[in-house]
Amino acid sequence: MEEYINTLKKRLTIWKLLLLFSVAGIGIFFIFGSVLFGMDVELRRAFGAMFGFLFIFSLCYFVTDSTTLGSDNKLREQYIRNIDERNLSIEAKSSRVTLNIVMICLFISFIVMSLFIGNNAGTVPGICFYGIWLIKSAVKYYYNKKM
Amino acid sequence: MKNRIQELRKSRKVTQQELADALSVTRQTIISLENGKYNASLVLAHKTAQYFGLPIEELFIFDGEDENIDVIANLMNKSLLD
Repeated sequence: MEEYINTLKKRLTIWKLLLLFSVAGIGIFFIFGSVLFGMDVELRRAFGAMFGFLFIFSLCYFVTDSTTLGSDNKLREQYIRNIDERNLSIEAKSSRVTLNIVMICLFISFIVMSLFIGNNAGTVPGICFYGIWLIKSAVKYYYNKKM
Repeated sequence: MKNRIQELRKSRKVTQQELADALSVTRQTIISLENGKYNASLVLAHKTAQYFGLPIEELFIFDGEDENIDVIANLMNKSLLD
Protein backbone atom coordinates (compact mmCIF):
# COMPACT_ATOMS: atom_id res chain seq x y z
CA MET A 1 0.00 0.00 0.00
CA GLU A 2 2.85 2.41 0.90
CA GLU A 3 4.41 1.76 -2.47
CA TYR A 4 1.13 2.64 -4.19
CA ILE A 5 0.82 5.88 -2.15
CA ASN A 6 4.35 6.84 -3.23
CA THR A 7 3.50 6.07 -6.85
CA LEU A 8 0.40 8.27 -6.59
CA LYS A 9 2.47 11.10 -5.09
CA LYS A 10 5.03 10.81 -7.91
CA ARG A 11 2.19 10.80 -10.44
CA LEU A 12 0.75 13.95 -8.88
CA THR A 13 4.09 15.70 -9.43
CA ILE A 14 4.04 14.58 -13.08
CA TRP A 15 0.47 15.88 -13.55
CA LYS A 16 1.46 19.22 -11.98
CA LEU A 17 4.43 19.51 -14.36
CA LEU A 18 2.25 18.59 -17.32
CA LEU A 19 -0.34 21.18 -16.26
CA LEU A 20 2.36 23.86 -16.12
CA PHE A 21 3.78 22.70 -19.44
CA SER A 22 0.37 22.78 -21.13
CA VAL A 23 -0.53 26.22 -19.70
CA ALA A 24 2.85 27.51 -20.89
CA GLY A 25 2.25 25.90 -24.29
CA ILE A 26 -1.18 27.48 -24.63
CA GLY A 27 0.27 30.86 -23.63
CA ILE A 28 3.31 30.72 -25.90
CA PHE A 29 1.83 29.11 -29.02
CA PHE A 30 -1.91 29.81 -28.91
CA ILE A 31 -2.13 33.27 -27.36
CA PHE A 32 1.21 34.83 -28.34
CA GLY A 33 2.05 32.53 -31.28
CA SER A 34 1.51 35.21 -33.90
CA VAL A 35 3.60 37.79 -32.02
CA LEU A 36 6.45 35.47 -31.02
CA PHE A 37 6.73 33.16 -34.04
CA GLY A 38 4.52 34.77 -36.67
CA MET A 39 2.16 31.77 -36.76
CA ASP A 40 -1.07 31.87 -38.74
CA VAL A 41 -4.48 31.22 -37.13
CA GLU A 42 -4.67 27.58 -38.27
CA LEU A 43 -1.31 26.65 -36.75
CA ARG A 44 -2.13 28.48 -33.53
CA ARG A 45 -5.42 26.61 -33.28
CA ALA A 46 -3.65 23.29 -33.88
CA PHE A 47 -1.17 24.03 -31.07
CA GLY A 48 -4.01 25.29 -28.88
CA ALA A 49 -5.95 22.07 -29.38
CA MET A 50 -2.87 19.95 -28.67
CA PHE A 51 -1.94 21.74 -25.46
CA GLY A 52 -5.61 22.09 -24.51
CA PHE A 53 -6.04 18.33 -24.75
CA LEU A 54 -2.91 17.84 -22.64
CA PHE A 55 -4.25 20.32 -20.07
CA ILE A 56 -7.65 18.58 -19.77
CA PHE A 57 -6.01 15.13 -19.66
CA SER A 58 -3.56 16.15 -16.88
CA LEU A 59 -6.25 18.02 -14.95
CA CYS A 60 -8.58 14.99 -14.96
CA TYR A 61 -5.83 12.68 -13.69
CA PHE A 62 -4.64 15.29 -11.18
CA VAL A 63 -8.15 15.60 -9.69
CA THR A 64 -8.66 11.81 -9.68
CA ASP A 65 -5.31 11.08 -8.00
CA SER A 66 -5.75 13.92 -5.47
CA THR A 67 -9.21 12.63 -4.53
CA THR A 68 -7.84 9.10 -4.19
CA LEU A 69 -5.01 10.25 -1.92
CA GLY A 70 -7.44 12.28 0.19
CA SER A 71 -9.76 9.41 1.07
CA ASP A 72 -8.72 6.14 2.76
CA ASN A 73 -11.64 4.19 1.33
CA LYS A 74 -10.99 5.36 -2.21
CA LEU A 75 -7.29 4.69 -1.79
CA ARG A 76 -7.87 1.10 -0.73
CA GLU A 77 -10.48 0.59 -3.45
CA GLN A 78 -8.16 1.98 -6.12
CA TYR A 79 -5.20 -0.01 -4.78
CA ILE A 80 -7.16 -3.27 -4.94
CA ARG A 81 -8.38 -2.41 -8.43
CA ASN A 82 -4.77 -1.85 -9.46
CA ILE A 83 -3.37 -5.09 -8.06
CA ASP A 84 -6.40 -7.25 -8.83
CA GLU A 85 -5.07 -10.17 -10.87
CA ARG A 86 -8.21 -10.44 -13.03
CA ASN A 87 -7.90 -6.77 -13.99
CA LEU A 88 -4.20 -7.26 -14.78
CA SER A 89 -5.00 -10.33 -16.82
CA ILE A 90 -7.72 -8.45 -18.75
CA GLU A 91 -5.28 -5.59 -19.34
CA ALA A 92 -2.59 -7.96 -20.65
CA LYS A 93 -5.00 -9.85 -22.87
CA SER A 94 -6.58 -6.70 -24.34
CA SER A 95 -3.12 -5.26 -25.05
CA ARG A 96 -2.14 -8.47 -26.82
CA VAL A 97 -5.32 -8.55 -28.91
CA THR A 98 -5.03 -4.82 -29.74
CA LEU A 99 -1.44 -5.29 -30.90
CA ASN A 100 -2.46 -8.20 -33.12
CA ILE A 101 -5.35 -6.20 -34.62
CA VAL A 102 -3.05 -3.21 -35.28
CA MET A 103 -0.49 -5.51 -36.94
CA ILE A 104 -3.14 -7.17 -39.13
CA CYS A 105 -4.55 -3.76 -40.16
CA LEU A 106 -1.07 -2.47 -40.99
CA PHE A 107 -0.27 -5.57 -43.01
CA ILE A 108 -3.55 -5.36 -44.95
CA SER A 109 -3.08 -1.64 -45.64
CA PHE A 110 0.53 -2.36 -46.72
CA ILE A 111 -0.70 -4.94 -49.26
CA VAL A 112 -3.69 -2.89 -50.47
CA MET A 113 -1.76 0.38 -50.78
CA SER A 114 1.19 -1.27 -52.51
CA LEU A 115 -1.06 -3.04 -55.02
CA PHE A 116 -3.61 -0.35 -55.78
CA ILE A 117 -1.98 3.00 -55.06
CA GLY A 118 1.71 2.45 -55.66
CA ASN A 119 4.80 0.91 -54.13
CA ASN A 120 5.72 4.07 -52.24
CA ALA A 121 2.29 4.46 -50.66
CA GLY A 122 2.62 1.15 -48.85
CA THR A 123 6.01 2.03 -47.41
CA VAL A 124 4.72 3.71 -44.21
CA PRO A 125 2.38 0.90 -43.10
CA GLY A 126 5.02 -1.62 -44.20
CA ILE A 127 7.75 0.00 -42.08
CA CYS A 128 5.34 0.31 -39.14
CA PHE A 129 4.38 -3.37 -39.45
CA TYR A 130 7.96 -4.64 -39.57
CA GLY A 131 9.01 -2.17 -36.85
CA ILE A 132 6.32 -3.42 -34.48
CA TRP A 133 7.11 -7.01 -35.38
CA LEU A 134 10.83 -6.44 -34.67
CA ILE A 135 10.11 -4.76 -31.32
CA LYS A 136 7.73 -7.58 -30.38
CA SER A 137 10.37 -10.18 -31.27
CA ALA A 138 13.02 -8.32 -29.25
CA VAL A 139 10.75 -8.04 -26.19
CA LYS A 140 9.81 -11.72 -26.54
CA TYR A 141 13.51 -12.67 -26.71
CA TYR A 142 14.22 -10.56 -23.59
CA TYR A 143 11.48 -12.24 -21.55
CA ASN A 144 12.47 -15.63 -22.91
CA LYS A 145 15.96 -15.09 -21.47
CA LYS A 146 14.65 -13.55 -18.25
CA MET A 147 12.09 -16.22 -17.30
CA MET B 1 -11.09 -25.81 -13.41
CA LYS B 2 -14.07 -26.03 -11.05
CA ASN B 3 -14.07 -24.67 -7.54
CA ARG B 4 -16.12 -24.78 -4.34
CA ILE B 5 -15.71 -21.11 -3.41
CA GLN B 6 -19.40 -20.23 -3.64
CA GLU B 7 -20.46 -23.32 -1.69
CA LEU B 8 -17.94 -22.70 1.10
CA ARG B 9 -18.57 -18.97 1.18
CA LYS B 10 -22.33 -19.47 1.57
CA SER B 11 -21.92 -22.19 4.18
CA ARG B 12 -19.76 -19.80 6.24
CA LYS B 13 -22.14 -16.87 5.65
CA VAL B 14 -19.44 -14.71 4.09
CA THR B 15 -20.43 -12.09 1.51
CA GLN B 16 -18.60 -11.75 -1.80
CA GLN B 17 -17.36 -8.31 -0.72
CA GLU B 18 -15.97 -9.66 2.58
CA LEU B 19 -14.16 -12.44 0.76
CA ALA B 20 -12.87 -9.99 -1.84
CA ASP B 21 -11.55 -7.68 0.91
CA ALA B 22 -9.88 -10.58 2.69
CA LEU B 23 -8.15 -11.73 -0.49
CA SER B 24 -7.35 -8.18 -1.72
CA VAL B 25 -9.20 -8.60 -4.99
CA THR B 26 -12.28 -6.94 -6.45
CA ARG B 27 -15.77 -8.35 -5.94
CA GLN B 28 -15.93 -8.89 -9.69
CA THR B 29 -13.03 -11.33 -9.44
CA ILE B 30 -14.89 -13.35 -6.80
CA ILE B 31 -18.01 -13.39 -9.02
CA SER B 32 -15.94 -14.55 -12.02
CA LEU B 33 -14.22 -17.24 -9.93
CA GLU B 34 -17.53 -18.53 -8.60
CA ASN B 35 -19.03 -18.60 -12.09
CA GLY B 36 -15.98 -20.43 -13.43
CA LYS B 37 -15.26 -17.64 -15.92
CA TYR B 38 -11.82 -16.98 -14.50
CA ASN B 39 -9.18 -19.36 -13.15
CA ALA B 40 -7.29 -18.12 -10.10
CA SER B 41 -3.53 -17.80 -10.18
CA LEU B 42 -1.46 -20.02 -7.91
CA VAL B 43 -1.04 -17.15 -5.42
CA LEU B 44 -4.76 -16.39 -5.28
CA ALA B 45 -5.58 -20.09 -5.05
CA HIS B 46 -3.21 -20.35 -2.05
CA LYS B 47 -4.72 -17.29 -0.40
CA THR B 48 -8.27 -18.60 -0.92
CA ALA B 49 -7.36 -22.04 0.43
CA GLN B 50 -5.73 -20.42 3.46
CA TYR B 51 -8.81 -18.28 4.03
CA PHE B 52 -11.08 -21.33 4.10
CA GLY B 53 -8.49 -23.43 5.95
CA LEU B 54 -8.49 -26.15 3.32
CA PRO B 55 -5.88 -27.67 1.01
CA ILE B 56 -5.95 -26.28 -2.53
CA GLU B 57 -7.07 -29.57 -4.08
CA GLU B 58 -10.22 -29.56 -1.93
CA LEU B 59 -11.12 -26.07 -3.08
CA PHE B 60 -10.15 -26.25 -6.74
CA ILE B 61 -11.13 -29.32 -8.68
CA PHE B 62 -9.06 -30.04 -11.74
CA ASP B 63 -11.47 -31.56 -14.26
CA GLY B 64 -8.90 -32.32 -16.95
CA GLU B 65 -10.31 -29.74 -19.34
CA ASP B 66 -7.05 -27.80 -19.56
CA GLU B 67 -5.14 -31.03 -19.96
CA ASN B 68 -7.28 -31.86 -23.03
CA ILE B 69 -6.46 -28.49 -24.53
CA ASP B 70 -2.75 -29.20 -24.03
CA VAL B 71 -3.11 -32.65 -25.58
CA ILE B 72 -4.90 -31.16 -28.63
CA ALA B 73 -2.24 -28.43 -28.95
CA ASN B 74 0.55 -31.03 -28.76
CA LEU B 75 -1.15 -33.20 -31.38
CA MET B 76 -1.59 -30.22 -33.68
CA ASN B 77 2.06 -29.23 -33.28
CA LYS B 78 3.13 -32.81 -33.95
CA SER B 79 1.00 -33.06 -37.10
CA LEU B 80 2.40 -29.72 -38.32
CA LEU B 81 5.97 -30.90 -37.73
CA ASP B 82 5.30 -34.25 -39.43
